[in-house]
Amino acid sequence: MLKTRSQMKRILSSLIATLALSVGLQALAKPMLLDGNVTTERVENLATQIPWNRSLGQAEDAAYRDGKMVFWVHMLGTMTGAT
Amino acid sequence: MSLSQDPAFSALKNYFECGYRDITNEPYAGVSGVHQVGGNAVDTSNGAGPHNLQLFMLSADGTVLNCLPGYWHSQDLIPEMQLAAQLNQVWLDPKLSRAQKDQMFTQMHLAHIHEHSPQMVRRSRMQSFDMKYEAEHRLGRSDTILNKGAVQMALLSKGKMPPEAFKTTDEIFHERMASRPFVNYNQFDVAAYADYGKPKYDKKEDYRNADGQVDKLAARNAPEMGNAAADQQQMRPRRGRRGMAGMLLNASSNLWGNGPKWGNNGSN
Repeated sequence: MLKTRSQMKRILSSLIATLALSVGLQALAKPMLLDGNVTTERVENLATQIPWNRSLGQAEDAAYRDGKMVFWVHMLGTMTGAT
Repeated sequence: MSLSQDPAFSALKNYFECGYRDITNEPYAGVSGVHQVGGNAVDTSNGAGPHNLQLFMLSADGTVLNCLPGYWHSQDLIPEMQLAAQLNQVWLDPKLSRAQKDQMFTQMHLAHIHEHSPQMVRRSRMQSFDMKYEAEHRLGRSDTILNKGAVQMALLSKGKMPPEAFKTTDEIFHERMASRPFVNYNQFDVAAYADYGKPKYDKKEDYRNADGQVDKLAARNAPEMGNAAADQQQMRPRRGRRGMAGMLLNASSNLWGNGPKWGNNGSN
């Protein structure tokens, strides 16, 4: 028996919802793992494109001069080393 | 690292002078596994690992405008940076008195909680082990717990902590900031501010396979960095079972780290 257009829409909608749910559940079950090559590239980008002060005083002076705020990170390790 | 991704990356370049400090030897620092630059990384929830990482947004004179404890998703950093910029305008406004500035600081931080998107709130759920830690070690005095009764039931039944009984980390840090209006960085009590959950946080990224499962044998002797004393303190439970039952029956209602509530004059 041929399905009506509205019946087909309902079937497609529930199929899409089921697929989305399974993808969502998979994403929840499996933490998104970033490969080491990707992280290397991102860290290099972060470390080279942005000058990271090691002195808060110098960062404050530069921020005052340029009319900016200061973004000051407390972290275990160094920006380009082990963390 | 989320800072390396847009939109946060562009915002850092355009609106901030950036710097960092290695807190490995600080007494308030937590413990983590050692992760080299070329190692793997995993996504996690906002506010995870608060003892290991704190992101300060300061005015040029060192006044703390905002501080995010732990990891934060790139897209969730932007609204907080915008709030910092608005607070900076308040701080620099010569027409406002200090009392007025402080009140606005408190109100703006508390109001920001309600501006967070549902997606950001979902990304800001406390980690289950952090909830468990707060329940076991600070049940009577934690400012992270919304429903003490539900948490007590979970402890007694040795079940999982109900997430809805805990605040999300975005709410926790805004409430804590609200009680610290325009404090200079040098006077900011980061140890208390960033203290919730387990001192040790490590996702063992370098020991996960493609399916995300941890190779527990390989991870067992993984090197660590940070405050080893904090890790040792965590391993000793605060009370035994009988002590825990007694504590549950006699839990006080004093909250730890709580600041002024919405509508109060934040004049501290």
